[in-house]
Order: sequence, then structure tokens, then C-alpha cells
Amino acid sequence: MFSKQELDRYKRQILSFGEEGQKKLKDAKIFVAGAGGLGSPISIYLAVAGVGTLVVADKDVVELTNLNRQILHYNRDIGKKKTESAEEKLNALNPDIRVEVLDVTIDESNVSELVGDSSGIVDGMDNFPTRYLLNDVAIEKNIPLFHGAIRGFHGQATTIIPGKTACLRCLFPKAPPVEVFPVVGVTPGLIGMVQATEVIKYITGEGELLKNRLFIWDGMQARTEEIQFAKNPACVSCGNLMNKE
Amino acid sequence: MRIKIKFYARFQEYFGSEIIKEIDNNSSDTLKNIAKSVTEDNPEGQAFIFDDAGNFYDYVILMKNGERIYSDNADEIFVEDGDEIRIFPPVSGG
Repeated sequence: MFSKQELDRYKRQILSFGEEGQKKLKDAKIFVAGAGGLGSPISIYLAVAGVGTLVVADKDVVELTNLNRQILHYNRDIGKKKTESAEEKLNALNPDIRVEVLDVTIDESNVSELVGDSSGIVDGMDNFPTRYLLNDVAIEKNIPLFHGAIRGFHGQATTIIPGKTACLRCLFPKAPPVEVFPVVGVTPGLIGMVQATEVIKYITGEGELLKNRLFIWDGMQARTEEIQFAKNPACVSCGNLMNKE
Repeated sequence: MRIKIKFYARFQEYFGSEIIKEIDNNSSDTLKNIAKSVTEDNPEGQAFIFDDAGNFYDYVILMKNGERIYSDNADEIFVEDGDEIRIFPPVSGG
């Protein structure tokens, strides 16, 4: 089932969730939407944890202004496709997993096909319109969406399990105005870790997920908060799902 | 009465992280009016919370004592002594 190399690589976490949990990680296929501030730490940690197949989608090219936070990309990668840079780093970190990259802009016409048969979607997006598309596809395919977002020293995360929890649109019915947001690299680092932790827990079946709970990080005050939320029966994305129950 | 209003993310840049509002004990007021009165000294910041008609923008998330309040209902929700109100915009970067 596992090679000697894999057993050694994952030895310390097998102590936590056993070979059985590690096998579940190996069998999983996770779609990471974006290889930017959130997508970088998320994909790095999911790769080293041994998620069997990582699909990373991003259309952008690495720019110098990305490098204060997008830790998958190095100075030497400026001008390269983010997917190319991501594939190289993730393969170097863990040759025992499969990395697939998609050099595309996620939109309404392709989102379902891109997510394909993935067992979960991780939100590394920087805008709400695309997040709503990911939310709808998660509902359509009945797979979880691990949401995260940041601004400056502030961040938020939650885990959406279609049919069981409120969806992203129940929580945030309307998108906030578009802006060029300030960001300090540590914030997507921290929120990305919360998301990656949720993915690993979901796959291995360990612990309690951030279900119907919005984790809020206020880095400025060094405080975490939690907000409980509920399904909105009038939700345009998942209201139908509720009515079927 | 004494009410605590907490702000997050961009709103914190305009109003700080927390405002304690003292109100005459004989009066009671709605969440919307309280939010307006504590933000009126900063019109630039207030413009991110309330629209031209004076209603909460629909993206603004409101909580009272940890419970979600939909902005459409902010007119009907009264605050009482000891209540904690949280006002925040979803952050959207990644």
C-alpha cells in the first residue's frame, strides 16, 4: 500500500491518524483554486501531508508584487506561469504525490469540468464572484468547500459541507465591493493553514470541522473570534437543496 | 445603558476595534440607529457601512451577542444594556 519512502515521509503524522488516515489522504484528490497568497501555503502543506492528487488552477504569471506572500513562487520565477512554478515546487517537496496544474481562469463555463471528480475544493481566490461559482459547484457535486479570505491583518475561514451546513451564500449573500486589498503575507499563511487543517481533518475523519462557524482572525488585535451562522432557507444557491430535505 | 460595538477588517481602520457607547437609561434604540450614531464622526468610514438612503449595505455582516442579524432587520432589532454588537465586512482577498 505504501512504499518504505512514504512510510518514512509520513511517519510522524501516521502517529496521529494511522496508516488508515494516511491511505485516505493518498486516495484523495483536492482542487486548489488559485496559487496565490492562500493557494501557496494550502498547496504546500497538502502536498507534504500526502494528499494523493493535488489539482492547482491559476491563470496568472508571477510578478514581483506577489512575492511578499505567495511563497510557492521565488524571485527567479518572475515572469513564469504560476502553475509552472507551483508544479515544480510541489513536485520537489513531495515526489510521492501527483500534481496536476490548470493554467486557466475559473469561470462559469468551465468550473464544473475543472473541479472534475475532486473530493473537495479549497478556496484560494481573491474575489467573491469566483467564490460563488466554487460554492455552486461544491453544492452540485456534493463535495466540501474550504473557504478562506484575507485582507491586511484580518482573515476568515469556514468549512461548507453541502446539505449539512449553510453555504457560502447563506453566510455572505452579497459580495463586498471590489478593491485592491492590502495584504501582509503572514495573514494568508495563517488562514491557509486553517483551511489546510480542515482539509486534512475532513479527509481523515478526525476532529470537529468549522461547520456553520466562521473563524475570524484579527491579527491587529491578536484575537480570534467565532461566529455561528445558519442555513438561509431563501438562499439562491442552496435553498432548493433544503427544500428537498 | 452601556453597549459595546466591535469593528473588524476595513471598518477597524475607520472606527478602531471597539467603541463603548453610553446611552441614557430611559431610552432604547435600534441596532441601526446605534450603529449610525457611533459612526457619524467619520463620514468616510460610515459611507462603507451605510448607503445613500441610510440603510446598511447588504454585504455588511451584523451580529448581536453572537447571533447573526440580517441587515434588513436592523431597524427592528433593539439593543439593551450589556449587548455586544459586531459590525464587519467579509474580507475578500486571497
